[in-house]
Amino acid sequence: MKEPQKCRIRIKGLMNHSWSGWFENFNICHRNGETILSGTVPDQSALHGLLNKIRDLGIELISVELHDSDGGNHRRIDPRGAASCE
Amino acid sequence: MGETFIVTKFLIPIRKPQYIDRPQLLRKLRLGLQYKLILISAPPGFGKTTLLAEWLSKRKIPYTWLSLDEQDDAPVLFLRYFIGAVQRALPEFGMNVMSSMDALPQPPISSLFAAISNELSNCTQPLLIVLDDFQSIKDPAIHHGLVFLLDHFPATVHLCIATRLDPPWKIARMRTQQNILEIRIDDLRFDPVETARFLEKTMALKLERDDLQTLVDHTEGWVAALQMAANSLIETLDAHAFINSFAGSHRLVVDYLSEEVLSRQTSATRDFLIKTSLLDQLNGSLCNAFLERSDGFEMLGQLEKANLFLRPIDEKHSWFQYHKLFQELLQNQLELHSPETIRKLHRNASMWFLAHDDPLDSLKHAIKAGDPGIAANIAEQYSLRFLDRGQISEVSSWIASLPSDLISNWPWLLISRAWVDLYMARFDRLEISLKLAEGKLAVIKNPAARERIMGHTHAIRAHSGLLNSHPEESLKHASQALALLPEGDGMGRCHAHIAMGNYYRRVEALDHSIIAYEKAVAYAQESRIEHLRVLALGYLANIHSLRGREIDKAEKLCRQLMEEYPNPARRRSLPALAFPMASLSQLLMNRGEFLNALVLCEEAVELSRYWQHADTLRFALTVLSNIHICLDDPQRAQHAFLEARLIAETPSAWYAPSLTFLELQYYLQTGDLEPIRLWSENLVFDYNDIQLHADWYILYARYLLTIGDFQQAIVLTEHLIGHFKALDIPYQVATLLGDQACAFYGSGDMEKALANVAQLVEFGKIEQATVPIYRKGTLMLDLLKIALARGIKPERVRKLLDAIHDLFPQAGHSGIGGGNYLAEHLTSREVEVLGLLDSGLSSTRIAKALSIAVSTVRTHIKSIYNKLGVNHRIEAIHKGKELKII
Repeated sequence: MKEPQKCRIRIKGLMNHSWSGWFENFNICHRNGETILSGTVPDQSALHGLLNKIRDLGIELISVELHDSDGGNHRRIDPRGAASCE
Repeated sequence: MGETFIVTKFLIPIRKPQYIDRPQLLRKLRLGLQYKLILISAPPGFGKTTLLAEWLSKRKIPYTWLSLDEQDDAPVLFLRYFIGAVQRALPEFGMNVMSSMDALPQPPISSLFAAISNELSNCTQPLLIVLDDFQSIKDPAIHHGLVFLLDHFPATVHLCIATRLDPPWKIARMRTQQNILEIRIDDLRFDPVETARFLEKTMALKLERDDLQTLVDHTEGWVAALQMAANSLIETLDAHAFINSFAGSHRLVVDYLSEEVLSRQTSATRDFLIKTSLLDQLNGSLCNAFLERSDGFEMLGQLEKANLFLRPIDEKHSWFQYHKLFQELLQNQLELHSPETIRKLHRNASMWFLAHDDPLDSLKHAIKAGDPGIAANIAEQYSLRFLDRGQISEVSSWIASLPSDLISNWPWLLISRAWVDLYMARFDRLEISLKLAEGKLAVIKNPAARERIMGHTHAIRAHSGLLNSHPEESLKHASQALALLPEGDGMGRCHAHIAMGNYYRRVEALDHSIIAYEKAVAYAQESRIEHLRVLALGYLANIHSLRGREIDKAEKLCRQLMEEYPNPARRRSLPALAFPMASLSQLLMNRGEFLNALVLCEEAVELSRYWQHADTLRFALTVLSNIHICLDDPQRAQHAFLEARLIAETPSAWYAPSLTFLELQYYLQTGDLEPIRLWSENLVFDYNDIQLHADWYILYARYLLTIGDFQQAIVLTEHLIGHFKALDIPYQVATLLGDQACAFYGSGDMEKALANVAQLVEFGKIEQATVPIYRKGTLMLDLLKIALARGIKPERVRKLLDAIHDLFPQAGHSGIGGGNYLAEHLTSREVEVLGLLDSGLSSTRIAKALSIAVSTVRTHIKSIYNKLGVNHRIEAIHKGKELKII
């Protein structure tokens, strides 16, 4: 992964918008009692750093999705199983 | 590197008095001692550390504790702390591994782990090794090493890991092999009973059963969340309403509760909490400076009492730290509400740590303050201070801890790195640092500052230049350094003089060398740079003993230094002493005080390991190897030699002999001649360059002597003697006269041999050369005895012989010493003649019997007399029988 990628993280529970800065300036929105964090990550290690933060705050992770910047090629990482392409 | 540990990392965290019992978990942990590995894996705030602390306080099993952090994520550092932790239970543990880590070059990490595993396998007592916050470790080498250790643990040793995420090991396999006990998030969740006890004990809170259940459901038994809830509940009048609003909000637990907790604090407390979250550890004075207020001590006391996630990290309750989770929540608040203050706060922290002589933390905050100028300033100041004190390992690890872009932008950091690389003989990186530093010169406006930096680059190259094929470059650099460096730059000037001394020593202009070293000593003394004074004095002593005219002076210099630092602990504070100690040890060895030399040299080796100065270490190891040869302990000699050889693989500027030279010298001394024969096949003689290759020629002359090529040895030693006489280096002249005497003797020219002996014993301090002379072998010993018998300088000869007999009692046993060696040098014809003499034949009859001329028989007889050191037929026959030649 060389190009920055768009990333969407679904977590359980509603997260206050004040956390946006903490999470790499990700956009925070709510849907059905879940929070969706969306933004771009420069590389894989930035993504892992982000996921570590989520873990360290005791937040339950539902799913992580990565898109190439051109919009094609969805990759979805499901914490309960292996990564799968949509 | 010195064993300076952050001791708090070995301490089990202080238990809170209000800890509540968790008997089920404790029972489970007790079963853990049937497994090799106990893994406690859960996010922060689930009580992993507290549970372990509680368990260990109740169970009386020997354990060691190590709290890890990101800085330990480097194999060598990790191992140091790992061994340091185990040593708290087994004080003798890992000493060898620790010192082999200091060896240069460092052995591979896997072999260090293997050595640790070996030591652990001897451990018969129970031992539990606890690694807390293990998620900080990511380095694959450490993971491999630990898995290797686990696979080889004896039944009595156990590893316990508390971590936020599972280590990348084959956990599933361990499960099937039943080698692992796991305690995971679900085990750690508080149930309603535990929650009730927790609230009551910590906050004296009592909740209705329904409220309790709701709270447990919504916090999912997460004790950090329960703690936050309790902090809010204690302030609220209507617990039921609070719990329900919390349960109904769908907000993230941590999000909701932390906001609640903070909103209930006074604005002063809230401000204090949020801002101090930038500090990884807090004390009253630091908080005062940090926040520019004066109630730091009181605030910390209040927060601790209010259970606001602050725990003491020392017994005196002067240093604290926030629970990691809470610290992160607070930091988010800070970034949200007053991001503009962050840089200033970091700057304050940086200043405080600087004032309290904690450069590492100071620098950490300076970097976060986003002010590379300040950071670089601190870094440069400290690098130079460490260098002035000769603290190589400190400045080396200090520089390693700096971000590399910081280093490559700041000339003094580059210069410091280059010095360290020079001291540690890492020459490959040296030029890179110097070139980068020169690249930065243009931005330095102050011409004096620019000149000083250039002066240092020249001083460094004056040392490294000796490695090149044009050593005279080194002299140019040294003079340029002296021209550029200001008077006040003691370190730079001192080094320039030392480099000059090294150069002159290399080309054997010993008078010049002495002058240069003496100047270096004077500069070091004036500017109080103790390690360079010691080093320069050590070099000076070395030159005096090399030249031999003033061996006493050399010894006096070394002894004076040792007297200044009489006890070993103080010597450790100035490890440069290793050089004069090794020099002194060499002197003692040469005059045969082997045991004194050994004790001294072993300390010198240890000190130079500790110091990490590659050349001193190599010099000390070479001396040590020679001492072991004298003590007839070839195994230890080889051991020391091999280590010296490893270091010598990187060429060195300070102490010159190359790897091949060391090697051949060693082989010659141990009698393994084949490598030298191979080397000498390509040898081309050019006596014009004797100045550059004198050491090599001496080596070769001694080889020729050993293989019995006496004629060539005579010619070569003649050149060498002339060379050293011209240079006025009597010690070398004396030992070479000895070599040549052996060669004359071997070739049958007794008169010349004895003439040499007569000259050699006139050497002022002949007993200083006892060992080199003895080691010339039995030929030399015989010669001395013959000289004595013939009355050649009898007093001097006897003095030397007595010294040899004192040292090597075995040398006297067989009458004429190594007579067998001598016998080998009677030719077969001479043996025949001797046999015929024994049967009473006259010279004429012998000539007839052997069909040779009478004059030839007489020559043979003369030669026999010479070799056996006798004057009469009867004596010759007697000696021949004694030596079992006939």
